[in-house]
Amino acid sequence: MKKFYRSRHWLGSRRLTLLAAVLLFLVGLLVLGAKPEDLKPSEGGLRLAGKFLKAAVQPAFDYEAGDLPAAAPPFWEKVGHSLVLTLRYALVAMSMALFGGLVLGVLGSRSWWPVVNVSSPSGLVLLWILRSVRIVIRALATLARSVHELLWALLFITAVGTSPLAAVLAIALPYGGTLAKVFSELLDEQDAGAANVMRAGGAGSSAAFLIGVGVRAFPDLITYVLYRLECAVRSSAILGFMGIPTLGYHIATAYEDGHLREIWTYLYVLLIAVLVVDQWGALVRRRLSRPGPAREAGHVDDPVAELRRKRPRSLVLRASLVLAFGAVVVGWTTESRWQSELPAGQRQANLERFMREAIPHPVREADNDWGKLGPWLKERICPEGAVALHRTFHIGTIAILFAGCAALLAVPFAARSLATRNILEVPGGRERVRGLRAGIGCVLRAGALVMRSIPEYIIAFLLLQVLGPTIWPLVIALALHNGGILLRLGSEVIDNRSSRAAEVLVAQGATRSGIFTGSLLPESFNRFLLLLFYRWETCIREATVLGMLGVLSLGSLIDDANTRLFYDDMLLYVLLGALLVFAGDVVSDLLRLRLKGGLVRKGAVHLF
Amino acid sequence: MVKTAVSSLIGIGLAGLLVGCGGKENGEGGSTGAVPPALVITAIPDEKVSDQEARFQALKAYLAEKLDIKVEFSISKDYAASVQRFANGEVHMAWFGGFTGVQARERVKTARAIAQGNLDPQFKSYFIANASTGLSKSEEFPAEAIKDLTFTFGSPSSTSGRLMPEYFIKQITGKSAADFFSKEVQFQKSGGHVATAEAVQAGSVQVGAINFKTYDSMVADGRLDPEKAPIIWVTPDYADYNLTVHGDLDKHFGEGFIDDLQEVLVGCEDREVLKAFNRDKLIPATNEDFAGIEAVAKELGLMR
Amino acid sequence: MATVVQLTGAGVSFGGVRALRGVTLPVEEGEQVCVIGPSGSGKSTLLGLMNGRLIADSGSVEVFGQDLVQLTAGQLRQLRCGLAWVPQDLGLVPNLRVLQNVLCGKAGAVGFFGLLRRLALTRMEEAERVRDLLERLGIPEKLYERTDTLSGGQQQRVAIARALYQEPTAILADEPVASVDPGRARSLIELLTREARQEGITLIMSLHHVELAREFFPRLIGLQAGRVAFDEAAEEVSSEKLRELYSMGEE
Repeated sequence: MKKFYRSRHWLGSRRLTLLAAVLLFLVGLLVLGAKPEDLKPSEGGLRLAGKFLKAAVQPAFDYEAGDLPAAAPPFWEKVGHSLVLTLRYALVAMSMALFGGLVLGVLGSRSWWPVVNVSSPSGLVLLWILRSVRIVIRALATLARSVHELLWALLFITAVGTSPLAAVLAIALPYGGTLAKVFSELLDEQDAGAANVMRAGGAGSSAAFLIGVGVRAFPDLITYVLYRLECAVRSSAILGFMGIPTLGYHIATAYEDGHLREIWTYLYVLLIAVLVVDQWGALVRRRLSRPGPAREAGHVDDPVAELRRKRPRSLVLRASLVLAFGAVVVGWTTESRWQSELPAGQRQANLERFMREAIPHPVREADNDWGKLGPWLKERICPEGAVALHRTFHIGTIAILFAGCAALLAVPFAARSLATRNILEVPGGRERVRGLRAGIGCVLRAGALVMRSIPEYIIAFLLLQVLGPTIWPLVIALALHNGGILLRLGSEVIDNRSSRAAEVLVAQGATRSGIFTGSLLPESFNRFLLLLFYRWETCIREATVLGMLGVLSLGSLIDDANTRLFYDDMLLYVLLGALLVFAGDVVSDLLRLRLKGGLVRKGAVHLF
Repeated sequence: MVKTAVSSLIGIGLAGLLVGCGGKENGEGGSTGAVPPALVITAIPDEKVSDQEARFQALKAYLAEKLDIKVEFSISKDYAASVQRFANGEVHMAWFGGFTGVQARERVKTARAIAQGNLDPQFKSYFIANASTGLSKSEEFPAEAIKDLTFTFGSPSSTSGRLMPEYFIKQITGKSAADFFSKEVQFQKSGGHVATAEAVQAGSVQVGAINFKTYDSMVADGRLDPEKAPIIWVTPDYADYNLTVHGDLDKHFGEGFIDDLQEVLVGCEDREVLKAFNRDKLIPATNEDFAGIEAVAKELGLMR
Repeated sequence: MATVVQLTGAGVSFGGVRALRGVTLPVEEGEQVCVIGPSGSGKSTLLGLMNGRLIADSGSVEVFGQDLVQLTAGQLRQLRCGLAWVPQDLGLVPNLRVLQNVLCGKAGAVGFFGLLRRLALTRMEEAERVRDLLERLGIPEKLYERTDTLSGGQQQRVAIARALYQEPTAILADEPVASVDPGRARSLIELLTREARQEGITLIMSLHHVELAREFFPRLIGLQAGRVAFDEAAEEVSSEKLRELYSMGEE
């Protein structure tokens, strides 16, 4: 009789995690009232989907409208102008965010702290001050990032008026916060060996920090900045839904007019732009971590001048630097009007009025009696605000669980090292259908690439028209976008891993899935979890704004308050959303810290 | 590598100076508070936004000629945006609905409603339904028939598409729209009344509330088939739509400017110009004409 | 001859464990001393006390005649300019060029902006000096290469070059050849001791390779469980003593 081996640690942390995930998933579905029937689109929806898919293969190369106003510019000029605007806002915002992020990132890290004598009272006070500064700065950075760029844009536009500056600031603030946070983490994680040696040799703290830690962290910093630039292009595009004439704006108006083919034109343009930035980032990353192609090596007898001539130089890196710098300068200087056309006095008055209206109205009416704050808060939060908060949380959570499962299932078929007949570079046999494996891998990777390049907001917007106003468009949009990201990252984890255990399994003739579940997955599980936790709170952050498309959650409450011009309510809900994301950020950090502690890493953790 | 980094840092510094100088120019130009160069108009996007620009061209030219000023038209992406931009001073005159007009005048105390369509004081909404529901026009509000169907309003700030229909539902059934309908109530966030009509016609929603004028003109144009989306109920009359201007225009454009503007608008007989508002004629209007709308809005909690 | 380092009854503990106790050691200028002992005997700790990376909680540590505990931060910095440290993991910046890593040796002497200038716009004379240094260490052609493209042994030489470039009074080297094969290790030790002798630099090194210690260093200090077991000229240290030093078990 077979006896099943009972693991003593059946409640071990890994299984606990999985159990928690499944539970969360089911609870979420329940809370959201998500019904499988809702997934079936209505007749009208199906027809629209059909038309839409048909339009995908025939993007518009000219206006679809019959009659045009006399002053209408040529179609491609309109598209081009919109693209330029999108890129310009992204570049300028990133340059601002980079500056802020560097300053705050350094201030928020431990690595620049001088050596403190803990045995002296003055030393203790200094340490306390340093620690407080660090905490405050990191809190500020996290807070800036907890408000989604669409919400920042809404706040700026409402408070002061529409202007390019509003658009740029809306992106720069949260991105600066993220950069600051990531920079300080990167700096803290760096191996302090070089800095210590310099300090031991009498170097000052700043020199030791800049060269020993800063230069060391540079490749990872740049890689992350370029990744963020790609995200900024997406964010800039969706600012269009706030009325700023970037690519998203034209997609929304094209849909309104029923010009589905035009939508695809704008989508393709956006896709190409995002892909270009993405590939550029990948290229720079490759060059930074590995020396360039083989060149003439220095000879023992060569004098300095000769050696200098033969030194390894990267054309890619130099060109990139010049290009990036030039683009930013062009972006800054070619905007004809940064601030709105209103006179400064008017802007000031608008801002003042907004600040006044931001005070909850019972407080305002009772002559700033803040005692009235309590009941007003209670009325807003119970039950409406709390329900919306709850739903927002679950939308994000379910979506990331979907994405995680899908990505996990797809990784064995999509990862380069597995999606080939020579698994892990160990020669395999002849395939029945040549190139099938590699082909499937290619298609999966391409799909993931497309999904991760289209902003979630746009996917949700389009799905809503097809599926109607249920929770599914939001969840699916988030799941698709993040699934693409997780698939790509997961594949990288597998590809970069050299697993002896896996090779042994291959040699023993195990199947692909066997190899995956038997060796690669257990070894990389913690890494996968890390990625999941990272994207989890990003998902929740996106979920707070997706509701603005019309489905009950924080976003819809914000939009509703905006419609009624109840700015105090609007601000409250924005704040609630920010707190949710803030909490998620802290939790995610804690979880990741615990996971990272158990990971043996080579160099800094790979960033996304 | 380090070399290029250092030189680019210097370069960025120079660029920063450039920006600083550029910025000053822009700032200076705006802060004198001098006479605004043009009269800026906007309108609520109650129908498709792209049409608006074209429709307002004739009005722009007409006003520019009659009043000897520059006129600009600026699109607002949704109802709330039009009110906010009016309140912010980004636009001077706006074609508002009833509710949005009340909102705007509440925020800008000196604002005045100066004109409306000649039939606008007796505005109404239609409740329309998809043919598949089998409903037809009735004198009484078909509460039993529609309470379990899917329902959509127009834009959330629309008077004819949301405010008044919701008010009448509350009056007649005693319940708010959210409580009355068993399924979650939808809104057309973009595309306004046209979107409502198309949604009902296509069947993606079963019943909708729509502006009577839009329905009639869509049927007249052939864009809507009354067989597929028949009217099932007509609301009582109420006042809707108005042109509202900032009260301080007199200061910027000269004494008596607002009165001249009103005269010019009311006296206009050019059909092309009036296409902007989809009206045959304009008549004078006052703020008091919309007191009823304000009361309804406050009762429904859409205003304080 | 001046005393470079003087420990008197120095002791230090970590988390309740006494890592070093009652260590009394003078090191004169120009001497070449090697600290040997089993793992955990406190070799790294001893070197840590000497340049102030660790603070003794008993006894005193004097470097260049000054008690480390009495110094201000600025004075400590000044003092450290005369001490070069070569740790076990080398502490090089992998993405800098070899030239730039070596130039960092002068970080203390030239200050923040001086260092930046040197790294970004290296003068010909400075590059020449570094190249000559690298030539003496056998890797002149690697001057402009990225440091992480070099082999382990080559990187070790770069770390040594950086220490030499600093022109210190003393070099403290903590197991500089721990991860290098014996043949390579031998040539590196030979190189370093030769260079130090040539420049008159005091050399204090900790090593695991007992034979190399005996071959190249005139003075050996044996540590066992945080105490100095012996401090004698290399000839005086018999194989018996060494065996005893490395024996595990009863204290």
